[in-house]
Amino acid sequence: MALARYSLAAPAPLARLWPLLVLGPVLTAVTGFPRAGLYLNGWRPDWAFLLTLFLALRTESWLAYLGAFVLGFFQGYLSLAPPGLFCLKLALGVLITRGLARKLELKGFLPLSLLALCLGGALGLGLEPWLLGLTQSQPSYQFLNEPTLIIAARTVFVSALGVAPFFRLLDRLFHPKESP
Amino acid sequence: MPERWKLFLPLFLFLLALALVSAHARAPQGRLSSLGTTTPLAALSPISFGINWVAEEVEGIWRSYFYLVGAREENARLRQTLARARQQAVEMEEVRATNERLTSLLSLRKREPEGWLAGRVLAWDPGPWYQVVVIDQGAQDGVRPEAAVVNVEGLVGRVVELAAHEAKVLLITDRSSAVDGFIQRNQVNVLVSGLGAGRLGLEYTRKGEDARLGDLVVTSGLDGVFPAGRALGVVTQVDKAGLGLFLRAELRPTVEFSSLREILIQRSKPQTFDWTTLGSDVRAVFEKKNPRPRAR
Repeated sequence: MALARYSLAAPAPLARLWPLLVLGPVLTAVTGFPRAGLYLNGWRPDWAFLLTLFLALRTESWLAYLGAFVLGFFQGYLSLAPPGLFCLKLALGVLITRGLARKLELKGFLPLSLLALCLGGALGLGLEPWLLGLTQSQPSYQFLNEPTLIIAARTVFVSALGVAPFFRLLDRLFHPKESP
Repeated sequence: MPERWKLFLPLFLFLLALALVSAHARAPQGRLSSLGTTTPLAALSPISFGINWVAEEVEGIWRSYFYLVGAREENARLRQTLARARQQAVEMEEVRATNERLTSLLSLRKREPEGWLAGRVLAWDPGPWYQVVVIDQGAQDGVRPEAAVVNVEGLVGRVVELAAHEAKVLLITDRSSAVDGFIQRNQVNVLVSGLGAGRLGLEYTRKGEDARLGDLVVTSGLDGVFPAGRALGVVTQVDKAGLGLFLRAELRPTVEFSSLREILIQRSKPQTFDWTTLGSDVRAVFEKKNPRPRAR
């Protein structure tokens, strides 16, 4: 299985991973392209989340946190959310992912997808609206009306589905020799 | 990298993120907060420009070579439409001249010609929480904070964040957006707020007010932010059955947000309607026909 080797035991040097930090903002900008919004209609992966998950499992912790910060900073590019909020969200994602991976000795496609689904759900549907509500001085339930919840849930679902092919693609791009 | 730095880096980044969030919550227009919002906006807008350029080039090729099938029939049809439109333009010019004469007779202040700046939508916020678009005009192009943004179909929103050549526009459908308006049929004053996901609703409209399905709601200009007379939405649902003083109503925006591309940004701040400039006799006639809106 392509993802069977995923664990914390395979750190990659910074020199090979820096394009990831460029790829995140670019993918976010592409997702925000007017026509993309029309066609995707909420069915789109959260690129920054997927890249952070990849960094958390594939690199040393300091690089994963640095990546989370940069990706989070640029994820706010199209949003009105306070700068730094997505950094916090993604940094917590790194923390939880690394903790779980160490604890459960995470390996294989299914555990990874389930982790993406649970983590994306907890961060995207729980922490994010709560933080937004907190920082905007508005009750968080205002962010949790039915249509936005459905769109957010689609994002989490598509992100979980995208874990396997996306990680495989990244591995081929950035770790050609290590790729299974 | 030394081990000590590896330990401190996550902690430093975590504190920096907290500081950015805190700065934005305390002073959204502050220097630190602006650094966090305008820097990525300025840094990433070239990517958005590039994507738009590529898409338009591809679209141009499609239109130039493949879309010409059936162009002759379309041309004939468009010529007929143009002839009709010319006739309508002549009629409209007459109506405009009449309106101008009547307005001057009523001693209403003649509005300053409003300057509008043309722009395009560069990108949408892909997240579900906000209804925001990024446009290709910024502070150095003459855009001011809180400027109203419209298109031919009606009111689009207002400028909330500015970079040098880009700006973020909060759409009227966002939950934190509210616009003062009138029901066009009976001039009932209403507050139109965003419900998210491309929907609008009426706020604080008493159950006794006459709001019906199909009513067009337009901006009143009384909020001092948006110009008067721009279409907002059409009433699609009215519920007076529930508890409470106010009715619940939903509007379908007149602007087709899913295909929003070209927009106009208002350069100068709109003038609010000034009741004190009317003579008492004119005011009495005007108020009899149009009940004075409630103070907010």
